Amino acid sequence: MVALRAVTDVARPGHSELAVLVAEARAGDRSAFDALVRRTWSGTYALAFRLTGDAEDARDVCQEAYLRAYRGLRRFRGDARFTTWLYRITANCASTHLGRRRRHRHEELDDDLELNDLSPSVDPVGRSESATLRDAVQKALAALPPKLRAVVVLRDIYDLSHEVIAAELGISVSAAKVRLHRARHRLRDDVFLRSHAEGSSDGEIDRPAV
Amino acid sequence: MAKLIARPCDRLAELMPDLVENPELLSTADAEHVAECLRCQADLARFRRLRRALASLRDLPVPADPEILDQLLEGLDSAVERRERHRIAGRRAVSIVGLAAATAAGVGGVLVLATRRRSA
Repeated sequence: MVALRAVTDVARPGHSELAVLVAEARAGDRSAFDALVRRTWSGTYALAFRLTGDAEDARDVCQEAYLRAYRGLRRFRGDARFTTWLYRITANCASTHLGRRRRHRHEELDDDLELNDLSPSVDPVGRSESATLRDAVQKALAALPPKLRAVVVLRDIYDLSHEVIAAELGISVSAAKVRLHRARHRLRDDVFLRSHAEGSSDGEIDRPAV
Repeated sequence: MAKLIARPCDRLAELMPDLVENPELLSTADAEHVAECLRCQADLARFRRLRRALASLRDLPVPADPEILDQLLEGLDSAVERRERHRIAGRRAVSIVGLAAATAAGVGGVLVLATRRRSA
C-alpha cells in the first residue's frame, strides 16, 4: 500500500521567490520550472482533490494543469500571483476533466434543492471553528454535485473572484453566483440542519439555545 | 383573494448565503428585523461559521501520495521531449520540402535552358 502523507500549502511559497523562478522559467530554464512545480504542487493537488473529490482524478488534473502552465508560461504576464494563475488553470482542467467523466458516469446537477425549515436557535458568539465542524464541512463538500462544489471551493476556500470562476468553468457570472448560492444553502443544510435533525454526535456542532 | 406576502424571515433566508459576502445587501429595514429575530440571527451565524470553516480548509492538509511530485516531473519531461521531437520533425519536413522545391526549380531551369538552346 502506498503511504500517504499530508500535503498542505500552509508553508506557501513566497511571492518574490516564485516570481524569480517564473522569470527564469520564462527565459527557458527548465530546472526553474521544475522548482516551481516542487514549490507549488501540494497546493495545486489540494485544490484538484477538493474540486474532483478523488485522488486519481486529482492527480490527472494536476498533471494536465502543469503541462498547460508549462506551455502557456510565456502568456503569464505576472499581473497576478503565479499560484493564482495556476489555480485558474487547475480549475479549468478540473472542469474539463469532470465534464469528460460526466459523459461516462452521468452526474447531473440537482436543481431541486429542498430547503429545510429553520428552527430558532442561537449560535454561540465568537465560537472557534472546531475540528468537528471542519470535518462536517468536508463531508458535506464531498457530497455536493461537482458543479456546485467547484464554485464554492474556488470562491470560499481559494477566494477567486466570481468573474475568474465563471471564466475558468466556462459559465456566466450570474450562473456562477446562482451555483454558489445553492452550494452554500446545501452546505448549511448538511452541516447544521440535517446533522442536528438526525441527532448524531455531529449535530452537537449547532446547539440550540438554552 | 388575499395576496401572499413573504415574511421577512422567509425572504431573508434566501438572501443569507449572499449576505455573508455582501452585507450591503441588507436594507435598513431588514437589518432592524435581523437585530430582533433570533431565527434570522441564528441562520446568519450559521452561514458565517460555514464560510469561516470553508476558508480554514485551505490550510488543512490533504492526504497525498508522495510519488505524485515525481510523476508530475516525469510527465513534464515526456511532454517536453515529445514537443522537441515534433519541433525537430517539423524542421526536417520544412528542410525536405525546401530541398525538393529547390531541386524542382533547378531541374526546371535546366530544362528551360535546354529548350532555348535547341530552338536557337
